[in-house]
Amino acid sequence: MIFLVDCNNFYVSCERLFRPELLLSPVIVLSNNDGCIISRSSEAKQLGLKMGEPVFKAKEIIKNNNVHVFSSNFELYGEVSNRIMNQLKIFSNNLEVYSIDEAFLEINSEDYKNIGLSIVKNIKKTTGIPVSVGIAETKTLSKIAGNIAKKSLDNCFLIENNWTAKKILSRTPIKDVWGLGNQYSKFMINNGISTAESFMNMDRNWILNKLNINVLRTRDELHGIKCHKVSSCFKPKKSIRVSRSFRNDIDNYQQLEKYVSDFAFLACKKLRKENKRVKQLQVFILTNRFKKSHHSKYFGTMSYDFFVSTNNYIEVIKYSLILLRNIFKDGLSYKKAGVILNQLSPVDEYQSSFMINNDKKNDSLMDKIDYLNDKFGNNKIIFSSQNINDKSKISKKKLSPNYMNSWNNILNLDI
Amino acid sequence: MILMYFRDQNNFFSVAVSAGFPSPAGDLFASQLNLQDYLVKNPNSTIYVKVSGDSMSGVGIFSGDTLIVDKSSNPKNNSIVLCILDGDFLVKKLNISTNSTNLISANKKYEPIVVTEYNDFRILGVVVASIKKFI
Repeated sequence: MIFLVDCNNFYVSCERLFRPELLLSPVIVLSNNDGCIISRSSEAKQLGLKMGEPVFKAKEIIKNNNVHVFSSNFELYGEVSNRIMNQLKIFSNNLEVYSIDEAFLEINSEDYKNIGLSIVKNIKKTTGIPVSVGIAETKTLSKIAGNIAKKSLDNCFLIENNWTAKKILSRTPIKDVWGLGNQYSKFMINNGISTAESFMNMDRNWILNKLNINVLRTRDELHGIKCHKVSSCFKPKKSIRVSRSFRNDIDNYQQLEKYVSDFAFLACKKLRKENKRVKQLQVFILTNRFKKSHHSKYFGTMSYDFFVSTNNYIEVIKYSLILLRNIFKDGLSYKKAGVILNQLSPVDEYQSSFMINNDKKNDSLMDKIDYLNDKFGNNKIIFSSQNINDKSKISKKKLSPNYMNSWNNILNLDI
Repeated sequence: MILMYFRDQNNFFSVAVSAGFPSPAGDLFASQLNLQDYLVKNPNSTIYVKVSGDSMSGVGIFSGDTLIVDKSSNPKNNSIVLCILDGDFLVKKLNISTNSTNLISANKKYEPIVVTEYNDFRILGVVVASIKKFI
């Protein structure tokens, strides 16, 4: 059977670990630039705070109900997540880390419900994080079981057989089926299919002709036919993206250039950490969509394909700035910018070119930059086009201390 | 002396290999002592907290010490525990008798705390060790 273990309100639960007095209070966590709500405690959900809602729209509710607000502390969440995933290995070696707060486990035994309950208990006790467990024959069904588990008292739900599955699927709206996505569920609804059960009874050939093999797999999975395996091997990233919303809009080209240099540097750093090269580089800039008063809305993006895929800071930054120069329009104020690296490949597998002198000279320079930054702290060595040390870039006003990753920040108690 | 050349990804480097009598310890690969192994049994469930106050001085916990707390360890009678009482963190000796649960300080200056059913009381973990640095 496949177990989906999903942490409840993960970011909020992490923040509560070291602030136990907030256990029953409404708590929310904001996205990277203190922009939107990305995690809510159940108390905050009850107040009507919405996922993804810009925080300024919820100001009143937050103030009137004394909602505790945290900036996102991804170092902390990452550490807690690692601990949970490690702890889960005692239940099964066949474990797929699906996201920071979700994992699939394959367990074959009897008495699945009890195993599920002991997972809930064990993770809560060892890491302090509440989780829910959905158990079923396939990944797609376990996702649906997981949704029910979240609402149930013991946080664990088992779809035992086809008969229980059928009963549940008739009550599951099509949009809640994992892997269908917005577009396909809209297409289904337009074709008169509104529940998972009616989707499950669709003709296989019709799906293959009108849609595609992945939709068919999802349908089969609802029948209990395993199409997606639990794969414990690491799935390589297909692209790397670094983007931020600015706290204040930017209309100055020079300033934007600095930010884009930063993003390019950070993206390239991630690339190098994963031992990859990039073939295609993309840069985008975006004006403020919430400001109705002035100027037109503008979304500028452009990409560049390297002749030879690269992992060189200098090249990535240089071409990011060339792209920026091409998409920048004067007289607009920009809210957001980003750099995306597409078509990644392992560092020693690349197509070289006889047209270009493959310059290996810079490789050791790049290695030295990484070495120095690792040794003396992040971003001690930067390129002169950057302004990474300008703290005004990212706003994190309500950041909690790094309780688990730094001796200077561990919890202080008066006992 | 013989010089041997190995190659790694980027560079050649050389290692000197002496041709004398081989070290009698050469084939014994003992690992170094590691404090983490000694002090932390369950890394997934261990947290560290720094304490101040003199209420636990009787068991050797003083201001400025760092406690190692294991959340997966089961508290027994007289265990030193990290717990939460009505939203406050406390480190106390756990005393469970047939009809009551008491939190006892290791310092005569402080009265025992009786935990009642009206308290929000949770034990977070057992204090495994206390680290005191002198320098």
